[in-house]
Amino acid sequence: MKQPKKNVTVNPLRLSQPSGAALAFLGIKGCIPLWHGVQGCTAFAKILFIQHFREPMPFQTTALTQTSVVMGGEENIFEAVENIKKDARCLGILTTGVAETNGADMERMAREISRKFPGLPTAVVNTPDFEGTLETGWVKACRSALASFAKKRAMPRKLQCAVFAGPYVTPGEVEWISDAIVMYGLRSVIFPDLGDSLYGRLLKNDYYACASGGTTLEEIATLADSAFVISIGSSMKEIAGKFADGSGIPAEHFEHLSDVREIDRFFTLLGEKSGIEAPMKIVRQREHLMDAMLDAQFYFHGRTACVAGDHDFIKRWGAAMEGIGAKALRFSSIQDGECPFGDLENFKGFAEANGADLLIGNSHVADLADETGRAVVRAGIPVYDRFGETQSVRIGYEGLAKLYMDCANALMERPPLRAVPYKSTLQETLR
Amino acid sequence: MNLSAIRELYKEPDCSHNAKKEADACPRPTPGKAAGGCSFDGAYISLGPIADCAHVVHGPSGCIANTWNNRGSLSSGPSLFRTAFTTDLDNNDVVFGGEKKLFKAVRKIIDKHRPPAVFVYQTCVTAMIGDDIDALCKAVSEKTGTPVIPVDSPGFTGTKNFGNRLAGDAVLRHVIGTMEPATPHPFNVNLIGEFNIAGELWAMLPYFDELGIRLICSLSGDARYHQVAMMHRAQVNMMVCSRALLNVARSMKEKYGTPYFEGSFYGADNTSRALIKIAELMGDPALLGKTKQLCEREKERIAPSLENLRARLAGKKVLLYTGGVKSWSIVGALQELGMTVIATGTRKSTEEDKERIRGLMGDDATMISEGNPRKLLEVFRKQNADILMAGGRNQYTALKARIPFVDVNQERHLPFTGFNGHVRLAGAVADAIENPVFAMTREPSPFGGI
Repeated sequence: MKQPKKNVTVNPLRLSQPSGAALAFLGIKGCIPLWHGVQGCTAFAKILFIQHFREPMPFQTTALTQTSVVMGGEENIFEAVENIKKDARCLGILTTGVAETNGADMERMAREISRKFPGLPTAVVNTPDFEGTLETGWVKACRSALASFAKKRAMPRKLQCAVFAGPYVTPGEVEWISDAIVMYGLRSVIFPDLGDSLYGRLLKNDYYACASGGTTLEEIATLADSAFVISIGSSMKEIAGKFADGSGIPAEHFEHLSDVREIDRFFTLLGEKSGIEAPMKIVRQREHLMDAMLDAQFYFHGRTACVAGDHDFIKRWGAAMEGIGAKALRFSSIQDGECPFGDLENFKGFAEANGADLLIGNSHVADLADETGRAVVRAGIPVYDRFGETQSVRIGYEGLAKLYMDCANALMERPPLRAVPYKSTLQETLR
Repeated sequence: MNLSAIRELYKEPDCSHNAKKEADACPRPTPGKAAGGCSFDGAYISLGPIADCAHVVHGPSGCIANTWNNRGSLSSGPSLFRTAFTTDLDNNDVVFGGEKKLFKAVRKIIDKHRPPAVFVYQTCVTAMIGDDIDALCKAVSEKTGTPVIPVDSPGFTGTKNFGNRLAGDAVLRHVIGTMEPATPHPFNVNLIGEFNIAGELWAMLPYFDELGIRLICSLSGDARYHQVAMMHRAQVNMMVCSRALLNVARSMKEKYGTPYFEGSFYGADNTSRALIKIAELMGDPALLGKTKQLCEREKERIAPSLENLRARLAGKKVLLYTGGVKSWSIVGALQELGMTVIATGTRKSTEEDKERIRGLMGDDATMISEGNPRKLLEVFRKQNADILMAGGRNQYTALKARIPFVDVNQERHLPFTGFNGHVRLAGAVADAIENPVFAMTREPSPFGGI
């Protein structure tokens, strides 16, 4: 879909590409995301994620200055690595707009770093913030980390399942996926594992200068030994597929786990791979979901839900809404095929033009919903005005039931369903 | 209320059950097979929506504690009616009598809320222990100057329908005719049995304003006490989709000569018929002309949206299970949409209602007089219906059977009255039938179980 080029973005919906890369690196245990840019680039993203995850963010920056920009900035990278190497098991270096404009040659940097700092595995990624979005940055970082840290298939692990999860699988959902796989007697390696690093747990150490949890380098090294690969979120389809092909193992892709069919397929797959029948718990949760959907579907009749965000996000929520009979309209943060896109000013117009009843998106979208008197369900990044988004599970039978309850409650609370009082002028003349 | 007064009420002469000398006129509920509410329930829901009044239930907690504020009757102003007041009797009250407690309760409510009137509802227990609420209401009323209306409605006197009649009797005795409108107006109407569920009255009021017909009172959705007190000044009473308050219309005809008719605002045709009938009874040719014009205009206005919906609904089969007048009024509305009503419930319908059903659905119309869920599902499956439209009580019957459902009773959330309401009803039915959840839940689970 084409949209006239705007000269001014009003209330951005798109989050920057390097922030996605930095987030992916936080899913690798012991990794420090090193931002190659001016310190502000890092600080802004740090605040965003601190507010969203309610966790400290071990981001570092090459802290470019006027002089270092003129000089190319390479020295800043070396200096930064020198200063943080003692705290890190590995590094993820990502560029920003300023570094890219400066023409940073990250491939060469990677070679230089491995020569200068042997024993410090490093992945580099080009993520200018003048293109892409959080999601594309995430994917690029994952690709780079695989290329840098993964090993060739060596010792097949018959019970291991490699999971490639997109950025809009919440830490709570990552944990859920892991539990589900374990329930079938399998072992999961989730990459990147935000569940382990950002779920929000109080740990023994009081300070971590690097990602306190996540997929370990050792686990990444065994990814290719897995019996099969699962990818979740369309953003991860390509790299998961390529990785599986390269390793000679089968891959199964899920656009999301937010509609009944996809969840059915997920558990069917686990059943096939493990040879175990669906646990009673799963059967019962599915039965509950069916019941919950029947109970809640009234609130979605003829209602329009507008979903704003990155590709994976709008896909999963769109599917969930269509699954219960609502009209789902997807609004992308970036130009993306047939889908309308733009900033929140555009989204506001879009929601109004389509008579949206329910808005789904981050806290900024929630403000917009309040402003226009629409129902809202907060999800995505950032959600800074509610607790629990990090831990929320809206996938799987149980999670989907919860999602429908949340949406139905939101719709129930808002006036559109209620009639507007009418006072008869003639009736007023009685008294 | 003494036994003879109750007997008198049983003999509602305009009720066709009585006219036909049916043995089951206001039938006694059958032990083991009864499903509806009691007379107290019927009385409380009939008058409870009078918005600016306090409604006090004189009884133990079971009478009101379980179900207060759970109906969809809306108010455009005061919300006192949504507060549940009860004397909440305890052991001692039962032994020593609850009159004093009630007296204090009503005084306290009057002091605190200054309502234009208080309605006091008698329940089984307080009737059995012999609390004289008639005398008591009179006493508080004299003391405070605020009308306190006794509604003698112990649950054991009968069904919910009979309770409606008890409520009607209370307003006839104590309220109607006690106040006069401040300004006269040529055309005045009452809507009896309109409860403004989901704002259904509000959907109609703009038309009355446009036509210059003053609504004196809607008994009792979004009503005020003074409106009830002035009801006798209407030239026409319309019984809206419920014969439950028939005694009000009939008595007013006898006492004030106000003609009444039964009508419905469900469906564009029914709505037009009702509006035109009101105009006819007003006896003013100019008004009649104007009304006809309005109906034509509105029908034309909604024609395009209805056309769309008709395409989605044509040939779809409905099983309708609802009470009384709705058993025919909604049939008409659905037929207007090109749908087939395969059966309709007639548990609370009168002979007259059934006559109309035959007129609409043909002589071999299937009428379901007994609303047990098993029977409903059996008819639904046998006739291969697409949707069940019924009251909230049967909502989960339908859902557990993976059957699309639209609520047409008091728990519904959308106003279905008038021209826009017809479009809304059609939309709700189409959306329900087309909802993907039903097809999906009917498919077997890959993991056994359901």
